[in-house]
Amino acid sequence: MYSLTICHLYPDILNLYGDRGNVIALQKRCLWRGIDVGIQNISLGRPFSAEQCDILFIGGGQDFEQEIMLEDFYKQHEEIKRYVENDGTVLAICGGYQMLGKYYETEEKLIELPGVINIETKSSKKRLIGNLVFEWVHNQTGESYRAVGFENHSGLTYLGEGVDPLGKVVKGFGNNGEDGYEGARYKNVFCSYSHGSLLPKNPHLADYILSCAFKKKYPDAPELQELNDREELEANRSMIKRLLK
Amino acid sequence: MRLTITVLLVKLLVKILRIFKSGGTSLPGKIAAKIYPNILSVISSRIKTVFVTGTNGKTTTVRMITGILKAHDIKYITNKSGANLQSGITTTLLNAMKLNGRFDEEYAVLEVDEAALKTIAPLIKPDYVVVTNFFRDQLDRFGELYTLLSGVKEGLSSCPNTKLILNGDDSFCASIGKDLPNEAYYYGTRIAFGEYKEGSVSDGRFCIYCKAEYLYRHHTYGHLGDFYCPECGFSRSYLLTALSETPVLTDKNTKILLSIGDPDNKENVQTIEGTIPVPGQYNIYNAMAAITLSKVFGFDPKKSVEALAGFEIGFGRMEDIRIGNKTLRMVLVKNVVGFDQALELFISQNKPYPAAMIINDLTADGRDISWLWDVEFEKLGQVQEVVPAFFTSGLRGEDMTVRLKYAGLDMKKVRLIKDYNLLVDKGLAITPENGYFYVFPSYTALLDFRKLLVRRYGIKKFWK
Ligand SMILES: [Zn+2]
Repeated sequence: MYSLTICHLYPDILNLYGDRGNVIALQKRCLWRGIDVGIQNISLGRPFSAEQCDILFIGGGQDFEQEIMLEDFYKQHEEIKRYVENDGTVLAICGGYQMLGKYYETEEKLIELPGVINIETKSSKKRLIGNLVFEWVHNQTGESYRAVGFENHSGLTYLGEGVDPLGKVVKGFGNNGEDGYEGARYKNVFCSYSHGSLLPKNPHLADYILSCAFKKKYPDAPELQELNDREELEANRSMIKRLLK
Repeated sequence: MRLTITVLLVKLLVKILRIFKSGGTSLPGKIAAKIYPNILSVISSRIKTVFVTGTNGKTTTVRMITGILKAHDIKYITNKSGANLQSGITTTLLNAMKLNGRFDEEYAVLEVDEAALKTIAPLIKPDYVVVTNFFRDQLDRFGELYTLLSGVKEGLSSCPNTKLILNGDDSFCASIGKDLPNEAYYYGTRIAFGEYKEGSVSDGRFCIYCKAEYLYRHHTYGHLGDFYCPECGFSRSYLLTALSETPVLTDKNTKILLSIGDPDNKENVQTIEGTIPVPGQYNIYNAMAAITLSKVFGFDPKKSVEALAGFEIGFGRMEDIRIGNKTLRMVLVKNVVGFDQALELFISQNKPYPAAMIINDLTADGRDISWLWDVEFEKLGQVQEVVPAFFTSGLRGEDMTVRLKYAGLDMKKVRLIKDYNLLVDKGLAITPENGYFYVFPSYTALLDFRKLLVRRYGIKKFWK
């Protein structure tokens, strides 16, 4: 039997915007296909082990609580870097996305970060809040899809060399409200500003992320089987229709 | 003279707006502020003012306080729950004022939006402020909890003479009492109730002063309970009102035992039994808030507790509407902890009652519906054998359906019905005789749904 382990980083701190819905989505979409899933919660003081992880999920938190966790994150970052460079699959949302970068700059201070991927974030006075639609392309099939979510961030993120955007903004702000891009892609790392939660009503993206992890662990296994995504796609379409009319 | 004209104008506008059946409460207040900018400061000194603020329980707590005042034959003014911003409060006060610039009423008991308190408190300088609790709520509107809390403290810092009535079980509320020089009175629990689950503290897990993780002598729900910080020692203060025995919760009411102290003589403690005629754990806190305030007023707590037993729930968190021999029970859902508690109530019935979740995403609901993923819909699995249907509806009905799908519910029982009329028909059709149809609407969905019920069944209007 196939099995995947999802590691949820600081689920008790980075849990601000219902992002655990992404973990639920990944888990259910495995179980519906008969793939066993283990979920490991990695809280403060518990070490992350690259060998025991197939998908790493990082959500966002409140500033006050994110500060508490940064110290611990520094201790973990080398192992996370090793995991990423070794094509480990990661989904990072909002604060979790920013955390993977090189630094977070506010008016008062510069918070140095481990730089797991080559991105930088600057805080802005204006919060970027609202529904977000972006178009992303499946690298293997070349097909494009529209994903819908909700963004709420004051950090503006800029991608450095070697990092691609996850998609193009169709409606909303995305990374910084300027360059028209949303999220980041590096190896098997997926980053986004979209809450919603992101994956449940964007099932193609969920499966793309899942297949990255699945193929890495079981290179000879057949493709993931199709699921009936009637409800998910209806939720996706109804929002896009409302937002783009 | 200017005051008389403004009062007259506001009264006139309110009348006109009512004729056109627009429940608009903010426009007259906005106009009044234009012609008389510091009007709130001028009029508020002429009446005793009570603010009720916090994330959950504002409306119910206001209702309970006014119920206690009524039992003491004291006249009061209060605002509609939707009119809790500056303009709505201005309208409420001016509309009640006599043309001679006086009030017939002794108290104004006002629900105040927790984000708006920062600007309203310095204008009105209320005599009493009740703070119910802080939970994460509509982050697109309120921002992060810590920012919201600083705003509340900032607003109150200009009112040193205001007496504070604070939920002592909530570390956020308790920190208001610690940070401000005001007289503060606390209520809380001496025993645990509810089902505390490991990991359920998602707000306020860490000490607001030193960032150490709080420990608890006991928990109730969410982050509420007898907390203390092992590092800096921050903890609950003396409780004026305390729940001293495990409450008895049924689907209709809650029996409680309170011990009520005396701020002047801590030895002097009264033990009083009471009944809150509404179910739900959160209402225990709301009741204690009202009782504590009445004690600070100098009322006999026994009489206040008795008054609560006759409390009639109105436009608020929960409302029962009799339709033939069936009851449509509406429970407003606004945020994670509120929805969790509402589901808890539904599940505890374990009866073949249908449920409907109606989710909108307009500004008053919160445009971001991500929080639905933090609500434990998974626990509905316990009752899905007996529950005939889970309906979904509202602008985000599709999202609600997806949430229930991923909660592992049997999708044969989940039905999306966007049309409210049809939803009422279908829901009542499968509600057993003498049974309940549970409807969980978000705020604007509640307003729309209520309008439909008024039309169809002629129940009492929002505007009395
Ligand atoms: Zn402390």
